[in-house]
Amino acid sequence: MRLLLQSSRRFFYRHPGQLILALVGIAAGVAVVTGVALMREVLIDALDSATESLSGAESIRIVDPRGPMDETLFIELAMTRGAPPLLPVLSSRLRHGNRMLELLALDPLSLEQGGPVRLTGSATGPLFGQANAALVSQRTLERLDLEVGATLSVRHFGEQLDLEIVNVVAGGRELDDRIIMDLAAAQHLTGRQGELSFIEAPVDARAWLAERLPEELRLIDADQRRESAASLTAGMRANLTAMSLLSLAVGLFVIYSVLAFLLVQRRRTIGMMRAVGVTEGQVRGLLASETLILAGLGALAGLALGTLMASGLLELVRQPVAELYRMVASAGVQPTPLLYVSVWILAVVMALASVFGVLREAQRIPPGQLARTVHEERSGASPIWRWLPVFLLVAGLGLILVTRSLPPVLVGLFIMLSGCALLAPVLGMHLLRMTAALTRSSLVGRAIKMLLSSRQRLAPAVSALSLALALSAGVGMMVLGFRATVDDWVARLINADTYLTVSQGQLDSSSMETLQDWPEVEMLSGSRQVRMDDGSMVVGYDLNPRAWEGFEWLDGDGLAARDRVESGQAVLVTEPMARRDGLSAGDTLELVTPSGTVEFEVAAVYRDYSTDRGMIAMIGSRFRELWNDDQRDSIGLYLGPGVDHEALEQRVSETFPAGHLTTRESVREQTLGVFDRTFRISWALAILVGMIAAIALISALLALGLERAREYATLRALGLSRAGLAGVVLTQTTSLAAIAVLLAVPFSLLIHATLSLAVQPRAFGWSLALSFPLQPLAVLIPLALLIGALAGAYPAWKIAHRDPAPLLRAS
Amino acid sequence: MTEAVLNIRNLQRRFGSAHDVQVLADLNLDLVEGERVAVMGASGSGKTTLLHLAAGMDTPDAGEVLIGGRSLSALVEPERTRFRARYIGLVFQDFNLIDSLTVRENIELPLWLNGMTAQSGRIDTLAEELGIAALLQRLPEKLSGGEKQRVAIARALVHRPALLLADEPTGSLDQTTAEGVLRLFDRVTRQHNVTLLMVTHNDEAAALCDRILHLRHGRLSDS
Amino acid sequence: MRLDILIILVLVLLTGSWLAWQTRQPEMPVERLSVLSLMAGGDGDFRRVTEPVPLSFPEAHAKHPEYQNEWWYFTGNLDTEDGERLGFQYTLFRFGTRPAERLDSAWAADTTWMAHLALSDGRQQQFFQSERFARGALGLAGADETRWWLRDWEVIRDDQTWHLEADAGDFALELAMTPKRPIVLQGDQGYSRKGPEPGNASRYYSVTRLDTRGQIRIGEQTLAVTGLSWLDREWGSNQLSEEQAGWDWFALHLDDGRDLMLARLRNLDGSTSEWSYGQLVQPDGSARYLENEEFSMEVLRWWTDRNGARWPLDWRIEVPLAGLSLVTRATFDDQHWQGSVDYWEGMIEVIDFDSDQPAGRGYLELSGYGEG
Repeated sequence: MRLLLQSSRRFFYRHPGQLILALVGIAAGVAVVTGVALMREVLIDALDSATESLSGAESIRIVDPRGPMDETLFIELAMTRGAPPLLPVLSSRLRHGNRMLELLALDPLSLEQGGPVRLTGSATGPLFGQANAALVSQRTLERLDLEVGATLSVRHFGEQLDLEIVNVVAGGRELDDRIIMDLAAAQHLTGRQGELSFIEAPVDARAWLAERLPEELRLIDADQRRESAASLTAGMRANLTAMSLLSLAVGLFVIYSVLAFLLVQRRRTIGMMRAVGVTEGQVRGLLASETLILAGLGALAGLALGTLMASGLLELVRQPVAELYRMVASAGVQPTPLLYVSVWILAVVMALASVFGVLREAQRIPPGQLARTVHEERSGASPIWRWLPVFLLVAGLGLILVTRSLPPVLVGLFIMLSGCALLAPVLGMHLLRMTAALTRSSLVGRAIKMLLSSRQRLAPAVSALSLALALSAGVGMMVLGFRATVDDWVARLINADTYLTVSQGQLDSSSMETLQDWPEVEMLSGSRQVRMDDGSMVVGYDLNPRAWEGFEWLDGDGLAARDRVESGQAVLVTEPMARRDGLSAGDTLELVTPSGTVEFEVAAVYRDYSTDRGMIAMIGSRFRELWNDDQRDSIGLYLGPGVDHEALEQRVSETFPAGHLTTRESVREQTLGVFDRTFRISWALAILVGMIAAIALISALLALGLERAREYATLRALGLSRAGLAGVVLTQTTSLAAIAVLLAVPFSLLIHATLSLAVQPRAFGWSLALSFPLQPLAVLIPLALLIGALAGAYPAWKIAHRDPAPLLRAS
Repeated sequence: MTEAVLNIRNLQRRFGSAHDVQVLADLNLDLVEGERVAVMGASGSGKTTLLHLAAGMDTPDAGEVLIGGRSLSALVEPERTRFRARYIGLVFQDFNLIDSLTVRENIELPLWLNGMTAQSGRIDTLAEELGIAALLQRLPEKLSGGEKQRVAIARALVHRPALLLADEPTGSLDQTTAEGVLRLFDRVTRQHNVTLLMVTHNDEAAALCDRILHLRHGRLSDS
Repeated sequence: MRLDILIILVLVLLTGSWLAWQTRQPEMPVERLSVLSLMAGGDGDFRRVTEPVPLSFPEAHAKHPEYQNEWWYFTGNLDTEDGERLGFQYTLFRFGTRPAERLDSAWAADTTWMAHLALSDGRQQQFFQSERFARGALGLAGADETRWWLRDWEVIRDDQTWHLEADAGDFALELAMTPKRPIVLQGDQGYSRKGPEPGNASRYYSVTRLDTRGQIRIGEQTLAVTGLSWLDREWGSNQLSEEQAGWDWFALHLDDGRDLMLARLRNLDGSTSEWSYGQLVQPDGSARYLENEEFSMEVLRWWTDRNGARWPLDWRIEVPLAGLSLVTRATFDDQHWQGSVDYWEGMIEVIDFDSDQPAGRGYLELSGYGEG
């Protein structure tokens, strides 16, 4: 076996390109999986542990599910005999440029002494009594590119605050993008006097607290917080996981293609080995060891690459997480040995599994056989093999259609992709043959004919390439299609001319009455949202006839049930809510409100993409009664014809000093902005997969060129000019790229449809209207052709600029 | 007056990383139209190098090669290739057929390269002469060694080159097949009155030629 | 071994160790909330103690916010029913600050409160300590004539008795302390001068002997205790002069009924400051101020703590005019307070030098030796 490995070692020396392609393929796939896995952890474990890190102990949290709590509760508890150390915290979201920061205002003097992380000594002085004094961790300081003493401008509910960084607080990545302030200063600055967001206490104080807490307050421990972070980000993580597994699949296809290609190249050598007495088992062992070493090394490189990449990927999801789930995640990842080992083993095992077919084939090489038997074997392939791709496609599709949860859909998608991978070379060769027939005697025709003879060698490359390109394009199409759907939805739902919000103070029924009397205003709508324990929302709507038209009914007809909704008997639910709780029109649901549990009829299910946690909409009057909450988050103004907007704005600012008008157009832009930020990660992964495809393409084409060096030399010897030979090489590489990308078109549509119609509804609970945005293909097709041409240019140049003699000699 | 087809003047060629292995040293050779010359020599004596230089597939360190009175070194690269395509036929020891093209397509290659596809009738004539007419639609990999070399000979002659360069044409064949191929080779080349430069270490092959030269220490000699 | 395999192995090892290095949990530097920074905040416009002023009680028990620092300081030696020895310390500190702005928040404060609770368990030679802070807002901490508190740790005075209740989790005190002697005004009618400037001084009074009984909980075990305690009350601004490094403070209950307080102020060079002072209280409550020249002390033994700082724990003390020639020994060494302030505060045994017989018990406070 040592001798056999020695021979493969020399082989790779002579074909370093193959070696590098195999390593790069697996490394790229593993890198994406590692990156996403590391990111997932941040989205669960490290999402909400900043105060825990500050107080230095595992903690439980006292929260008021209804919203901020009164600070007097802290005083009552803290003054009770035997009270555990309690940390009062006021938390708020800040925006710095495009970055979301979390303000954590706390009482530094309540931090339990003896914890591992403390405020630095000299920080305490200026922290007290200076209204804009703030602390950040060293990492955050660097991320914000600031120095101690610098001013940090942030926006808090539309209002600009200038904070002064007075010192650095000791702490790890939990404090990433956290701004720590003294409670008094923060209340003063943000105008949130009397409020606390939560109180943190050591875990062992649970019993003591449980006995004394008012009934409406909750105790949440770290596990529950992790769980809630996990369920909040579940959809996003499922999506990421799907993407990372697809990337791994591409990586596996690449390693499969390399090993299969190597086997074809070495058929003769292996035949010789068998002839001199190497057993089948030894040949199998040799190939398995090669795979193990290649995949092992590649996966190791992938772990390193993925770790380097993870922070970058994380940066892409942090903002959507902050915007959608109101949680500021850490900016750094914390890899664990377990994670590394699992990903490594997964990659190596899957690589071994993916070359199973290659192993079988290698085993079948009879002793002493030369390359000429390849075609005979091929033509003798049983019908089972011929129909396998179709069978796989049908099976995958079937699995996707009959199951309702996400994992089987991903398995189904994987099966379908395998079918595509097997189908690709067959279809590709047919396409090439047809092209060759059409261009018979021209240079192009001859070049393609020459290409066709090595279909056995090209098959794996064509599979890997078309799949990688298809994935890249499919994901791109899904995102663009989704964006178009969201755009339609926003345009329909947001139908008031302009929306009024206030940055301080509040809007309520009297504001509505005031506005109603304005001559410019024809109609009003209003909304008020509250967040429930499980992250879902309840919204109270004041609806006018036009606002009613904004809904798109997916089940039942809300307009028909309008009377029952307006009387407060019935509610409308969003699609994610309906899907998650299995609700349809006509069902009833129970809702826990501050006025007790109330039963509602579900009048209809409507399309909504604002939150994947689900939303229940009810008529405003009923909402106000149940929640005893007269506020409005925003009021929609439907204006009469010819209203002067500037005059209106003037009037608004006189009546509502902290009021802002936002036009329909900018609401739409903001919504699409959030959408775009949410899907930046998908784009990034699509581009990564596209890059793997490009690398695979280049390497396959370079290999093709080198492989055919002798044939090219013969042509030169017979008198084919340099230009003519370059034409042959370029035609070959470009047509190979062309069939890969052509095959990628139907595959990408299949992937797009599966992601849009099966993965999205199962991950997020919403369905998408299927549309076919062709931009990704419009980018990828010319790109692939360009890469084909460029990858041909090098060997063409190299061969054409050498005298053919040495190449002919080197037989 | 017979015309000079090939004149080799003071040809030198060195190899090796330091250019220190002298393979051809001041070699001279002249062939007139219809002349058949065999160059014999041991393995590594520089026979193939000589042939490659004569075909313009390799560039000499000194000296020059004239074909039909035209110096190859005076031609720039595309011209040299076109010149080779038109005036030289090549037969290799290991055939060098294009595996991905049929026998007919292989033979057709020189016609195509010279824009002479209209003359494809020659393919059938040559195939008849060489006894490979039945094989025209096959792929080279299905052929035996002797059949392959006959295809290669057809390919080398189809465009009626002024000079046929043959590198050990029977080197890869067994004794019996070699004899058959040689007989055919002799007949066809005589039929077409081809000027032939053949390098070989096979006495029987050499015996077909008018003149036999020996390549030793980079020079040619008659005995 | 072939070079290429070696190179691959090296690369694998490098990548592997880089990955392993990535999985490490970052070590966080631990820094402490420093009391000095609280004391340093916005000095200047606090009043200073510059001359004797008559004190009136019980008003003087309450806080004096016009001065920067203030403390309420109990120490005491206790015995369990089994005759085991325990010592305790409970101190409430007040630090005035001058905030840069008036903040519109109920949490806005110009005072920081700190409480230290310590228990010396002579049985296992164990030292328990607990420290907590609160801002002077929302009633979280404060001191008036009858109540001195920081959250749920509090001292309430009814009539003549102070009731201390403080629970630190792993230990708790519940003590009733009744004065056996009248209040002693330290220095010149409570004007305790500590440096060359008239303002290097504090207002200082003590109750040197309080009959103490109550219970102490250590872990799950509750012990009934009796003993003697000492109360010190002191306030001022910038008491120490810049020359001074710290002090060695003795509060001794002598078996003959006399109470002796000695405060040796140390200069930066380690020498005894001329501003050192003492107080001798007779069983009848009459007190005599001791000048620096009227007593002498000498270190007999040093103890080195885990951080390498050295503390003088055993002493020889001479007060000739009182006929006292004493040796004091720490009951056990590690009564080292480590928190936001670094000091040694613990129970000590008093022995008559000539007879080598026990002569009393007391408390020793050493400051300025450690980091803080």
